Amino acid sequence: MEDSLSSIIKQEIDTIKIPESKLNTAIENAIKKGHKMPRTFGKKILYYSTAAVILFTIFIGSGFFSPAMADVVSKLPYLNQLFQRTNETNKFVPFISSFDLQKAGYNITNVSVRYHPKKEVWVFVGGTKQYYNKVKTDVEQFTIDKLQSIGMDALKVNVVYDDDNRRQPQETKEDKEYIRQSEDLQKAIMEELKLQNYGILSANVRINQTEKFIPLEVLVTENRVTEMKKIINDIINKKKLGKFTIEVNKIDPENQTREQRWSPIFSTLATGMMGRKEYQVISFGYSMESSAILLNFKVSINSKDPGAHRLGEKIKGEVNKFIHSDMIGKTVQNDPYKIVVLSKDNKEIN
Amino acid sequence: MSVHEDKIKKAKKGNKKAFQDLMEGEKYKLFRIAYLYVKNENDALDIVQETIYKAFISIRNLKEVNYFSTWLSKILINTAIDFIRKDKKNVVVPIDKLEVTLIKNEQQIEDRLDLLKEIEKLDEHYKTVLILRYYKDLSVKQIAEILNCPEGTVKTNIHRAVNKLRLEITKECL
Repeated sequence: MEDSLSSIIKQEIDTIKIPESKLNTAIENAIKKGHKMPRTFGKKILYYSTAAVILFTIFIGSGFFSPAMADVVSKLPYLNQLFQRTNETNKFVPFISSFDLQKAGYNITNVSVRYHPKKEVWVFVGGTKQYYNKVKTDVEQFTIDKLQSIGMDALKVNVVYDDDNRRQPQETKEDKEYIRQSEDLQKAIMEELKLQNYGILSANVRINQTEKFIPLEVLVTENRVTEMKKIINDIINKKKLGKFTIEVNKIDPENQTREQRWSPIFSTLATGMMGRKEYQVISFGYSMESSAILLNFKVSINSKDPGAHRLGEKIKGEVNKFIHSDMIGKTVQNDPYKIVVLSKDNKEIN
Repeated sequence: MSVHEDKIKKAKKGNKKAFQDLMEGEKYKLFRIAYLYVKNENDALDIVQETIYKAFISIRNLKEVNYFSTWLSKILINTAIDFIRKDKKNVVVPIDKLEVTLIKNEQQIEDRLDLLKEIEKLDEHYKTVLILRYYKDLSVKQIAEILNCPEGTVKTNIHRAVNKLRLEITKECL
């Protein structure tokens, strides 16, 4: 029994996918950092470069919430307030940005939002510690007011002092050289393949301490893979860069443009539906795999809870209302899509 | 002396290559265990990086060559738990426009098997004993050393963790 449990657990845990190259880079960085450090003890170790499961940085400034617009805003359906269409272009409008706060006269370095494990907005105050203490309450109130003005009530506001603790480390000379080499090789490959009329979309060369890697994105109709690899290898040899791994990915441009035009919609749906308590949405996912785009909302209640079906329908209704509103272009509206609301126990409830 | 032990000795003396080789053998387990705690790739990578960094600067203090794997697990688990606690009250770092990829990742997580989710959901102390006992195959005594607690407590926690897991799985099946 013990043995079988042990082997089941091992099998399960081993299904966790390994991001091989990222892992190698992390190990390499750790050793590099350790090598440089004088060997002292009890030194405070700082974390950097962290991304939560879903974490948006909000950086687009906009006058969308100016008083003059207030009237218009209040008449819009909930989700449409997070969305803008100008000159035939759809855009996701964040509900608050550092720009909004800066315009109000505060020294704000950044604003972030995350939804896991809790729904939170983080506002980072720059300047001195005294300044932070002085404006903290006001900044908090300002942010809360903004959120309330559009009906987002699920996010807790945290105002913190930005003390540079978690900034990315500086690029080293070595890193810069790698970047230069990567860009140089990338340019050469793209130019040559385009010149010879291959269906090449991108070649994002990666050169660093641990890998020499070229992921190619080619048109789904392009079948001359061997020939392309030969051309690339010739370029590499000429530049004397050593041995590279080349990976070929076929891309359907149709699917890609579809994903692009839906991208602001996805952002709006994720932000809006997770940002309001009544919808109880804990995560949003989408899939472009099948002909109909799948919009997947997961909620925090169980399928057997009273009102589960009603919640499912409510979410579906709000999403449909948004997608069918005049704001959104016809091209998007003509794409077939399917909404699935999943309960906590993974049952469809709409 | 085995090759493995030899490498640990060399690494203890500051041999970078030997240390790298040792990490090569441990990296998948390190990543997967970290993942079980934080449930996302980026944080798990951070924890592995931090763990290896800590291990690299302190390996010379490792007393017993045989304890290498246990010692490394201890660093990893402490780093992971520390990370979760910090992360709860601490700061987030900006990333631009990553939402789409991240949302996709989440979709993949949803698709994964139930047992794994149940392990992820366990309280930290149950999760820790379960991983150490059944994934790292450590003995109760070794686990007690890592966690600085009596063997009896470890046994009880393993027992409860397994029961919880079974309970959760049965609940899901109903």
